[in-house]
Amino acid sequence: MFYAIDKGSNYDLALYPTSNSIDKIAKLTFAQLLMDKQGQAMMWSVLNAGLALLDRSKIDPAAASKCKTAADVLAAAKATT
Amino acid sequence: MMRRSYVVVAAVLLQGTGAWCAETAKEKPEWKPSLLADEAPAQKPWEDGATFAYKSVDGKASAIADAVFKLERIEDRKITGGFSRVSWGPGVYVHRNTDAAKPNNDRGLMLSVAGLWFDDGPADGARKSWSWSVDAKGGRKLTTEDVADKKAYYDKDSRRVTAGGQFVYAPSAGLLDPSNLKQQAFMFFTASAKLYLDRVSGGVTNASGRITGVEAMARFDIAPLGLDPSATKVNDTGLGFVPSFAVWGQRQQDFSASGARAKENRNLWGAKAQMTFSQLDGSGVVPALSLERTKGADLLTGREDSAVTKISLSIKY
Repeated sequence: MFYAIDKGSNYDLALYPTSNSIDKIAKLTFAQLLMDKQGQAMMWSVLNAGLALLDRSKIDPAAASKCKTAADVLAAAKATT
Repeated sequence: MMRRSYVVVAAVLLQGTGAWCAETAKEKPEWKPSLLADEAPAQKPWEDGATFAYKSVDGKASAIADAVFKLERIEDRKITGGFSRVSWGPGVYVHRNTDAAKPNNDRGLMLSVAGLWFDDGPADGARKSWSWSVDAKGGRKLTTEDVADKKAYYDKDSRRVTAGGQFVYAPSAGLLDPSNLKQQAFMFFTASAKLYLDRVSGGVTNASGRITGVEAMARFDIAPLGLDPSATKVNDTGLGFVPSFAVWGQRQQDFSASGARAKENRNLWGAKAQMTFSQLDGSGVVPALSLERTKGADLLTGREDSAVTKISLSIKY
């Protein structure tokens, strides 16, 4: 999860003690994380590929389009079956 | 002859919000509809909205439409060394200008396959991605021909195949301190190359021909105040804004021509300043204002050599 967000964001999230886990960035919006459309596409791609490896369903595109923060992404990933 | 025109435009951007599927089913169809301005390789960082415009010059009214509606199915995969996102699906394209002096009418159906690839390396900082697309199109195209020393316009059958690749590089924004958010510029560079095959036939003179060539494009985008509208909010109005700027250049060089058509080289330059507004309480419609200047020709959208300044108001749902 954290890797997917870090992949989509231009910030060096993992390198800094105040932003190196998902709960530390949970409240931040995609815009605050400097994730544009392509960054978000990269994040969903990593997440969906990861969920497929775990034999879980993909994140519903309707649910994905409603996500605004890192916490929303976590909730959407947990909601998959 | 270059034509100068000033156009006021209303544009609509409808993207990926509607998923035509039930939320509970495990294996569900995931067709994603999108309505965009052009058909650049998939997953372009900032999508340009489709344009529908009306203009009036010296009492002569004309309309402009520049839109591609696509229905796409997207698949994500972890592959050796990276991640891959492949999308494919059918679409409809319309590039239309009813201006009597320089009409443009290029419309038809298309089938496209596109992909995004990025590596599995360290996630921090700079972002690099590659995308590619292959489009096959068939439709009708308005073409110019010189008949008895006069320019005449004919509707012809048009078939077109393009295959291209695009590289996007967004430099690192450094470290992030969530307790002390600072406005941080966001920028990226785009470079792309495309091969095209354009064939027209029919029309009154029945002159047909094929053009093949290569297109190269470079573009730079920057949002100097970052992407977060809440960092630039207008006091008490609940409205934030994100300014962004882009410059680009494109060249199409034909390497072969057959039949009644001649080899040509076409350049297209553009610059754009855009202001996207955002309701910070999250309610619905987001307006954007943009000023765009483009000059040149584009074979793939049927655009003849012209210079256009566009002020547009777009609305995104």
